[in-house]
Amino acid sequence: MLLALAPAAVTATSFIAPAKWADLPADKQKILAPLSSEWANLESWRKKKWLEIADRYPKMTRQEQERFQQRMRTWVRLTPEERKAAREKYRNIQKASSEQREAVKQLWSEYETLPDDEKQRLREAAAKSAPGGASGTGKAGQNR
Amino acid sequence: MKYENNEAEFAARVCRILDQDVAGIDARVAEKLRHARQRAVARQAELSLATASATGGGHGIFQSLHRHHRGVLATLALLMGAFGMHVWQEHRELETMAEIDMALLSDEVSPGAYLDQGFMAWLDRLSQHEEYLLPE
Repeated sequence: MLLALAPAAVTATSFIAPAKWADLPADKQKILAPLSSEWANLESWRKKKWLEIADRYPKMTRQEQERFQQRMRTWVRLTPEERKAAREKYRNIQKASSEQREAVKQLWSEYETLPDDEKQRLREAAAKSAPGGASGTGKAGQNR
Repeated sequence: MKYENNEAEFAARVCRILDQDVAGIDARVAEKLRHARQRAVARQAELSLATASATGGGHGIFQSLHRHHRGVLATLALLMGAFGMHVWQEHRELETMAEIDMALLSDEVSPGAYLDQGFMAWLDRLSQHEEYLLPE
C-alpha cells in the first residue's frame, strides 16, 4: 500500500538499492562494472542514482556509453564539492547557445593539446587570481 | 373559549369530568383497561432496556472505539501520505541528478574541464575577447 502511494516510475531496483555488489542484477553489474570496487562505500542514495542511470544507459549512443564507462570511476572518487561544482558549471554551459557550447568543445580540444607545463602555468595563474588564493588542484583535469 | 387563557383550570375541569366517567365504568371493562395498561408499561420497559443495551450501556465503549479507530486511521493515512510524498520527492531529485550526471559523463567535454582551473580561466579570458561569452 505504501508503494502504491509512490509514483509508478519508482522501480523496485531503484527503490531499494542492493548494499552488496554481488546482489546487483547481472545487467546492472555489466553497466556499472567500473564501480564494482567502490560500490560498498557508496551511500544508499548514490547507489540508487547509479541504478537509475543504469536503467537509462541503453538509450545512450555507443560513443556516449564508451565515454561514460571511462569516466565513471574517476567521477565517484571526486569530492562532493567537486562534483557539485562540475554539475553547476556544466548546467551553466548548457544554458548557452549551441554555437557557444560548440566553441567550448573546440576550446577544450585545443586546451588538451597544450603542453603540460603550459597547462600547469595557466592553473597556477588561475589559482593566484582566484578569490582566497589557490583552490582546486587541476588533478580533475586528467579526468577524461 | 373561556378556558383558553387558563390552562391549569381547564386541565382540572377535564380531570374532574374523566373521574366522574371512570366511576361509572363497568368493573370488567376497568379490569381489561388495567391489564392493557400493565402490558403497555411492561413492553415500554423492555423496549427501553433493549435500546439501552444497543446504544446506552455499550454506547460509551463503542463510541470510544469508533472514535479511536477513526483517529488511528486518519493518522495512518496522513503518515502514509507523507511517506509517499517523501519517496516521490526523493525519486524526483534522484532522477534529476541521474540525468545531469549521465549527460555530464557522456558529453564530448570531459567533466574534468569544469574542474580544471586553468581551462576555466582560459575560457573566461577568451570569452572576454571573443564571442564565447557564457552565462554566469
